[in-house]
Parts: sequence; C-alpha cells; structure tokens
Amino acid sequence: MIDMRYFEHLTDLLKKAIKEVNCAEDVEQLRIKYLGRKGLLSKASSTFRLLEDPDHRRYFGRGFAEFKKFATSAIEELQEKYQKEQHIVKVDLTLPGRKVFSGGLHPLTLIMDEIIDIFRGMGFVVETGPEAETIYYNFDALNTPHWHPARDLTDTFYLDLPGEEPMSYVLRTETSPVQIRTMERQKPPIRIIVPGRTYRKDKPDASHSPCFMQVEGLYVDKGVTFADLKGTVLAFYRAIFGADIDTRFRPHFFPFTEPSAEVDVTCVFCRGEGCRVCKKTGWMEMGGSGMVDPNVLEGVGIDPEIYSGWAFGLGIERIAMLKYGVDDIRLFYENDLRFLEQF
Amino acid sequence: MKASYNWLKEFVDFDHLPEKLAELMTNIGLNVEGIDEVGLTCRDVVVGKVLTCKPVPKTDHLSYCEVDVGTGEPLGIVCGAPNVAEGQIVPVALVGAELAGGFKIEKRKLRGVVSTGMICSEKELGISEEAAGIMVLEYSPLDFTPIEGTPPLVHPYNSRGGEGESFFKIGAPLTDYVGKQDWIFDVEVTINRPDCLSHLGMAREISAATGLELKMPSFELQEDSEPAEVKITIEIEAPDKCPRYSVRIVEGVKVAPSPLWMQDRLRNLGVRPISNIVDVTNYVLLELGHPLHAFDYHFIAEQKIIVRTAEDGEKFITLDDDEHKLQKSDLLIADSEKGIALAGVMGGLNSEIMDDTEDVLLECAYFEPVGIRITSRDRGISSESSYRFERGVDPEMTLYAVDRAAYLVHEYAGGRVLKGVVDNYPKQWQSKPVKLRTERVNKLLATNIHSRDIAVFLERLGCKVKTCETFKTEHSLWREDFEKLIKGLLEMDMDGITSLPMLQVRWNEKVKSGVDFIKGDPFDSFGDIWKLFNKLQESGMPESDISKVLEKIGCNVSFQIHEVTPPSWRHDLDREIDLVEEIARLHGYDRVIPAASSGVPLLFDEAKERPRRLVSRFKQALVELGFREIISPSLVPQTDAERYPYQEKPVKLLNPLSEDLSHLRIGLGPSLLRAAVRNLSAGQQNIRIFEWGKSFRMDGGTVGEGWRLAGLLTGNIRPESWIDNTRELGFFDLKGLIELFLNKISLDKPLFNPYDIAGLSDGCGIFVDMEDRELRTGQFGLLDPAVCETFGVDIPVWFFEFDGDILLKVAGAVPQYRPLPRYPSARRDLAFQVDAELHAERLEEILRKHGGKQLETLELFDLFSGKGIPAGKKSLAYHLTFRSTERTLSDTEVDRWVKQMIDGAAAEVGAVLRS
Repeated sequence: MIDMRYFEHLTDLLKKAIKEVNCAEDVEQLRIKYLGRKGLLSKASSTFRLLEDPDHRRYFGRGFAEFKKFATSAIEELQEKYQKEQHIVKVDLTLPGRKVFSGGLHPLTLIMDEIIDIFRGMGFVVETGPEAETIYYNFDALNTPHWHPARDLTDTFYLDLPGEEPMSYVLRTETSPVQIRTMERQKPPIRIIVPGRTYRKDKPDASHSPCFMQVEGLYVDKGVTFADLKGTVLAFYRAIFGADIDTRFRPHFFPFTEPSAEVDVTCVFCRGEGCRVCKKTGWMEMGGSGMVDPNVLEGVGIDPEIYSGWAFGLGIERIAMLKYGVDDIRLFYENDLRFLEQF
Repeated sequence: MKASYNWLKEFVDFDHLPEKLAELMTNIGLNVEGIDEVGLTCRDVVVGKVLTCKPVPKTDHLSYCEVDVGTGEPLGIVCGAPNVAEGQIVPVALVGAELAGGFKIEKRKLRGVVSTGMICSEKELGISEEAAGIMVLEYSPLDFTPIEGTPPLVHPYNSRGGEGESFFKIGAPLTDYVGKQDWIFDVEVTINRPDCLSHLGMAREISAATGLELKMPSFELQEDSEPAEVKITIEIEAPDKCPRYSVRIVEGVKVAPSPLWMQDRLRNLGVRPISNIVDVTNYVLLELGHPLHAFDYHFIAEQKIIVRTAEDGEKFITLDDDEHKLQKSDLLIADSEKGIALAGVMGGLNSEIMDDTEDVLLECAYFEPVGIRITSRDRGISSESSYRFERGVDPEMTLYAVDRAAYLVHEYAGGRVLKGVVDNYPKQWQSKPVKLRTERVNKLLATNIHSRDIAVFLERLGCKVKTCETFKTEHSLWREDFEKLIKGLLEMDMDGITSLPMLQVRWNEKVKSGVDFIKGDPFDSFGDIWKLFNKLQESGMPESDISKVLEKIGCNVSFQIHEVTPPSWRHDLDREIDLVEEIARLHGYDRVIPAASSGVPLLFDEAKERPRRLVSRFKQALVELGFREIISPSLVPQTDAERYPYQEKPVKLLNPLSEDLSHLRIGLGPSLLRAAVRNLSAGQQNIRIFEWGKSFRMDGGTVGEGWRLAGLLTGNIRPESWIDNTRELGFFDLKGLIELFLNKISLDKPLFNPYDIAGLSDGCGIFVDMEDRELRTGQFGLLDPAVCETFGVDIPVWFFEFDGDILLKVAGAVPQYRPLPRYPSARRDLAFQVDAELHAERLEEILRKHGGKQLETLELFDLFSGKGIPAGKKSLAYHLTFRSTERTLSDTEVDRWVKQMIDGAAAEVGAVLRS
C-alpha cells in the first residue's frame, strides 16, 4: 500500500537534513541520497509506474513534481552556497585580473591643468582668444617694430584670405594678443593667464613643432614692480619643479616688455650642479618676461604713468618634456597610444 | 656673434677667467651660449727652416729634408707632402710632441731612412681642416707656388723688418706666432643691440658693468702729403638712405696674405682669411662693429662715387658672382657708369680687390637701417655688413673706423695713405635728450638705487647725464580733487596757469565724509604731476617757476631728474623706460629681491570660468568611459578637405611649411583617423580616442574659428581576456556611450535624429539636436567606409563629433534634487506587436504620453521578430514602473493607466498587445 503522505514525509526529512549540512561534501551526500540515479526520487518514480488507479496516479504525480522541484532547488541553493566557499579555496588567485579600457588625459593637458591650478591659486584668471589673429593684435599692439624679423614670411604663418588685405591675418605666434584684447576690455587691476595654441614657422624636429602651446601671464595695476614679477615667477617654478629650484633673470629684448628678462631655472636634471643637458651651466632657459612696455599700455588706453605691469610666457611642451623626461617634442602630437598611455 | 676672450681683454683689463667673464656678460644681457677653447694644444712644435729637400729613392712622394730647428744640428725628417720645398719656414713637431687627436711623434725608420720629427699640416696641428699639404709659414723666395685652393699663409710683408729678412725666429715655439690659446664665446646679441656686435661694443658693456676703464686701440696713422680729396669726390643723391659716406685712399699697396695673428683671430671667429686688404676690413668690423668695404680704386670711373637708388630692373653682379635685378628701393654705390656695390649689403664683382690691386679705396658709411633690411630681404643676401647696417651702426664712428682700417692696411700691405678722409655727411646725427626720474626707476624695480649711481651707470654706457636740481616737498590732497585739478591745469593754457591764485586746499571737510584720502603718497599722483611738470617745462618755464606753480596748487613733489643724452651708437635709448632697463641691467637683475605680488586677490569672473570648467568635465567624462585624449596639429594637408566631406571651405595658409601642413583643419575627423591609422599600424587593436580642439573655416572673407569635440572608436567592446569573450563594437555600444556621455555632462534633453549624414554610413548616423531639434549639436555613427578607405583604414570605425561651442552653451545644467521615493512602485510588463518599420522612439513617446505622470520608468527589455510574429511586424517588450510621490498606488489605478497606454498605442500606431 502506498502512503499518500510519502512526499510530505520526504520533505520533512530533507528539511531536517538541510539543517545539518556543514560543507560541500554533505551537500553532495544529500544530492546522491535524494536526486542521484539510485536516490529516493528515482525510487519513487519507479513506484509510480506500479500505480494503476488514475486518482492515485494524479495525486502521486503532483506530490512527486512538487517534491522534485523543492529538492532540486534546495540542493542547488546549497551547492551554490558551498561551491562559492570551495572557489575561494581552490581558484588560482595568481591569474591576471580582468582588463577594462582605461582612458586618460593627454600629458600636455595634465601639465596645462597643473599650471593653471598654480596660477589660479595666486589669483590669476584664465583668458582665451582666437588662434587666427590680425596683425594688429599679434604685432602692432605689442609694439613689434615693422622691421622685426618675427613679421617675416619665413617666421610666421600668414593666412590666405581672398576677402582681406594680403598679410593681414596670422596664426598667432604667441598668446600675447589676448593680453591686448583683455586690456582693451577691462581696466586694471588685471591679473590673467592665457593658455593656448601658438604657431611658428619652424621645421619639425626634436625640439621644434610648428604648432605648440604656451601659457602667458599678465599683471597690471598701480605699483606693480619687477620684484613682483620675480617673486611670482619664482613661486611658479618652485611649485612645478620643486622647492629647491631657483630662477635667474637675465636681460633680453622683447618688443612688448621693458625691462625685459629671459628666465632661466635651475637645471631640473642636475639641480644646478652642471650636466650635459644644461651645458654645464646649471641653468635652463624657460621663457621670456618683463615689465609691460609703456607703448603697449598706452595703446590700450591705460596710462603708464599711473599703472605698471609685467608679463611672462612659457612653453607647455618644454615643461612637460622636462617634467616627464620626454626628449622629442613631436611625440606630443603624434598620438601614439604607447606614448599617451604612460601618463 | 662670436667673441674672443683675448681680444676683449685688450679693451678692458679684467681679472675674470673665461667662465666668470661669460657669467658676467650673461648677467648684463650678453648671453654666452657656449665657450670654445681654441689654440694649439700640442707642445713641442717649433719654427723650423727646410735646409735641403731631396726625394727618397724608390718612392714617388716622400722627401727627405734637413730642417734647422735652431739647435745647431739639423734634423732629418721624412715628409710626404707635395708642397714641401727647400727654403721654406715650417712648423716642426719634435720627437715626443703630441699632436691634435693624440698622435705622438716618435723617431721612425721609413724606407731605410730615419725620420726624427714631423713637418705638420694645419689639420695635424689642429688649426684648421686644411690637410692638403704642410703649413708653410714663409715661402722660399725661390719657391712661391702655394698648393692649389689654399692661399699662401704668409708673405714677406709679414716681416716688419723688410723684405729678405725673416720675421720668424728659427726654433721658437710655434705658439709665439700662431695658435695662441684663446676662448671663443658664442654670444647671443639681441636685435636691439647692434652696438654689441663687435669687441668694442661688448667690451664697453663689460666696462660699464665692472667700472673698469675702456681702452680704445691706439694707433698712429701716417698720412702722405697728397690729399685724398683731389682723387675722389662723393655725391650722395639719397641722403635719407645714406646720411654719411666717408672714404680714404691708400695707394701702392701690395696684396698678400694678412699676418698670421690676424688670420688666427679671423679664423677663430668664423671668418675665412682672404688677403691683407679684405682681412683688414673684416677685422675692423669685428673690432669696432662698423662694416667697411674696400674697392680697387682703378675700377671707379671718373674719380667719382655716386650714392644713388637703383633703377628698376638695373642689373648688378655681386662679388659672389650672382646677378641681381635691382629695384628702386635698393641703394647703389656707383660711379658715373655703373654700380660698384650694393650699398651696405655686398660689393660688386667689377670693383673687388684683386691680387694685383695697387690703390685701394676704403669705404666707411652709415646707411639707414630699413632700406638695408629691405634690400637684404628682397635680394636674398645676408652679409655681416647688412646684418649690422639693418640693425643700426654708429654714424659717428665712420672717421675712426676708416682711419683704423687705413692704418692696418698701411701696416700690413704697405703703400701710402692719402691725406684726409673724404667725408660727405649731409644728414647729421642728432642726439635727443631723454628725461629720467630716479623715483621712476626705483618704483618700477622696487629698488633703492641712488641718483648718483644712476648717473654713473649711464655715463659708463657713454651717455651724457645732466642731473637736474632736486626740489622736494610734499602734498596732501584728496585723490578725486587732485585728479580734477591736474586735469584742469593740463587743459589750461600757460597764461592761465601762471596767473592762478594760490589755491586753498579744501581737504578738511572731506576727511569727515571719509573717502579715499592720499597723504604723502608720491607715486599714485606722481604720473599726473610729471605730465604737468613736462608741460610747464616744454613751454620754456624755468624750473624755479615750475616749482612755484606746483606749490600754488598745494602740491609739491620730489623730482630728481636726469637729462640723459644717449651716445651715437645707442639708437635704442629714446624713452625713459629704455634708460630704466639700462639701470636695471647694470645694477643687476639678480639684486632685485623677489616679492610676493601685492594686491587683493582678484575676483573670478564666472562667465570666463564656466567654459574652462566645462571643458574639463567633457574630457573627464570621456576619460571615465575609457577614452584617451589626443592632441593633433591644427595644420593639415589640403587633401583632408577632399577626403573628409566637411561642408565648409577650409582656410589656407599663405606661406605653408610644406604641402602636408598647408591648411587649417575644418574638423577633427581626419586628425582622429590619422591617429587611428598610426596606432593600428603599430599593432593596436582597440582604439578609443578623443580630441578637444579648434576648427577653422572660411566665413565670408575671413576666418571662422570654433571648438570641436570628437572621438573615434574601433575594435572590441572590451579587452580580450582569459576569463571571458569579447566581441566587436556595434552601433548600440556607441549609442550607449554617447548617451552616458551626454548624461555625464548634464546635457538637458538631447534629441537623437537618425539621418543620412555626410561622412557617416547611410542608415548608421544620428544627429544630436537640442531645443526641439532647432540646435544641431553633433553627430555620431559608423564612419563611411569610403572615407576610411582614403585614409587606408578597412575596418569599421565608429565616430562622433560635437560642436564644442554649442556644447559649452547647452551642457552643464545644474542637477536639481528629487526626493527619494517613499512609496513602493508597481511594476508591469507589456509586449507590443508593431510594424517592423516603426521607430521604437515613436512607440515610447506614445506610451509615455498615455502612461501619465506616475509612469516612472519605461525600459525596453526585448526586441523580437521571427517565429510567432507575422512577417513585417516586430515585438517590443517593456518593463514599466509606476510610482507616486504621495501614496501607494492601487492595482486598479495602475491597470487603468496600463490600459490607456495599450489603447493609445493601438490607436496611434496600431500596436497589438501580445499576451
């Protein structure tokens, strides 16, 4: 005779057994006992074949299906639980991790952002301007004499614009035109930096690129002095290259500043000891600076008797090259991922 | 310019060793970029005389020489040079000597003959690269056949003792005559300082910086009694272009090599020795900085020099044998028949010094810089001479320089110097005094340099300085009032000013209202008073009266004014600021103590800050999505415009470096493709790059310039790994990334508009629009394979490009907080059967419209067609979530909304609910 509560009984048994499971081994025992080829369910199904009464068959069938579902899912759940533990123990953790695509900023962007951060901390505002400039902003307003070689076709890119006077537009040779644009618009005090692309007609080689990037700073107010210029520039180079860096200002000539100075910094490779890179001088040339020429101020309607100012410029690639030890400027514009991924 | 340490030391007797001198020069603006030690390093090389010279038997080129080296016992030396000959005076390396390159002289046996020493070539000595034969110090009178291509180095005229008697002492060290140790500085002279393009000029700077005396070369010119003026007349037709023209004539010279020491100096400074006459002009150029030219007097027709502008199209052959077609802008030195020199640039072939020249005309002129610059540029000739003239030489130097040259010619080429300089000076140089305020210097530099020191510095530079009487008082006034007062005075005429009554300074009341009081602040008001002071002075008012006027307005200030007259060689000193720089240089830039910038931190302007911050955010967002930033040149080849179908017209350069860099880029597509090609050929399989950069297009007649943001992807969805499989990128990967990106940059409600876009594959491109499709922001999709092919790419490339300026306008919306849900949501799943053509976006729009405001999310989870779905139809299945912010929703209301959605979809697009 068949106990119609057979499956209820089995369910109770299984529930009890589950509570006693401790490890994956126990789970496997349980699986064999209930779901295995010679397990209880297998036996039950052979019993089913013996039933003739349709009511019995239906009743038994439903109970069988319910129990099978319960047992299977309960044991799978257990297997999963204990298998995880098993994985932690057994998987080879020295296998490499899963890779993901990782993006990144261009090294020149990283340097530019760093420079901007430093100057913003010193109270400078970021200004920008067009790269295609008129000769007024690029040369005239910057006090560049008409005979100056910078105006030559061999030094500067001019644009071929059918609608304009010939040689009236250039690709800006420095970011300084933005100084003029700012001073035309705004009265002192003015304290800006101007990052951006600039162009010069240099054949590309390890240290030249026809397009490159600059940052330029300008400070105009009452009582601005050469000592302020030295202090700000020194603070900047220390921030970017380290506290042991010193600067050297030596007289130079730029049309838009006077007195003008070329800024050298302690060689970042030998820290001033003298090496091959700095030609044993201990110094490296970084960029121009000086007090804004009174002609420039007058040109934008700022009275040089009342206001004074200074400006400086520096090349982004140069800083990046020194900081990262890159020896060829062209790498920055070739966009080889094997290069870019190093930053 | 190159400069010799020894030569500088002849001008100024400094103690500085070469490196210290270089440092000093650098600190005052003469940047020494390098130091080269020159001179003979080899020891034991002496002057010898070849007594006998016979061929070594059974050889075709070796000679056996007996050479007197002053020891009494002649040395036997085997020499292989073709030019060795009896009677020559030659350098001899003794046994034990070490020559350039470490070659050691030993006693050797050659073809059975013992050789004890070596007769050296210039190269072996390290003097020059000349190695074709031995260096001959003095030829035998019997054998005057220098080897081809090299000038004879020494001629009997080197011997001051006269012909026949040797100048050289046999056995003396060679360095007594040639190859003296020296240090050659490579000096960067800035364009504003042509006066420093000579040893005199640099020495003057050294003298000014050290206070040591500047010594001019001393020489005594012996003139003949015959006056030069009867032999030459000078006519200047273009005095604007040639304000001064001075000449001397030396007759009866003998052209020969110049003395060894002069050759040495020239060679060390990069000038090739030619002959005594030409070398003297070059020597004086390097010494004094004034270019000279020597003509063969006999080639000048009718004893007349005419300085005139060239005719348009006039032909002229320069001494380097180049024919030039001249223009009216060129200045020509001519005689009555022909041009003989391109003024200030280069002499003519028709009048140059020849080996048999006897009478020499030495020209020393002052040409106006701009004209020389134009000629040099237009004719494509740059010479040592034009280099200096176009920057500006000293017009007052011509007499001294031409005397100096005549003296040296006479000394080393003989002849007689005709009496007097023929000097035509139609446009006298005028010196313009410049006012300099001590206060101005110290205020700009933040220094405390004494007035007296300022005068001393300037005098050392050759300026004449008159320091004006100092008058010193103070003023105390309201700034507002003061500015008004000065402004009034500046507009007033002189009579008005002098008849002013004593002004009552009414400042007491205003102190009470408490604004902006200046007391004893000389600088702020300094500029205004200075202007007034200048106005009064220009009117001719004596200084005592000026001080009275200033007192009348209750304002007195201290002025220490130097009236500075710059020397004739300093054309760059014509403003006060120019003098400030001179003081700064000589005081020392390094003595200005760095200060922290004074002043209140300036307020940031949000309108300017925002774009910069947004750009950072754009870049950061893409980096987070796995993109690598690239930066490409903005200069591109013209072919880009043909390869990538941008609609605008590109901007062309007038003077490109090369064909490859002839245009400005219109868009970033070609730049990114080039980067992709580069990396694909380097073996990269997965590329995800972007660039933020400017693009340029023709806009009317001028340039339109704008920002672009573009990116490119190719390869797989994720990197290959051992752990699971990857697959190629597809359209929806790109779309997903774009959606995420736009979300990250807070772009408010972008609209995607599928379209056949030029540059993208048909059926695989989408415009991103804003503001109800009014504003085209960008586009993305699969790059047109035809475009890729022109760049050599044959794999699918996914691309997007946005207009950066529009992004800056529409992105960066500030997110607004929505309270977190407090009530549970109700979920339903619906599947619709619709026409296969129907855009999912359309169906979604309808469902949202009918779902009401409680429909929180609507998410497609299955797209299906095929078995069970009729042809021409597709099934779209959605998860719906409903939620209210105010209460728990009931099943009946949710069912109602679902029904509305189903009915709406059925009514509008005939969607059939699948159960």
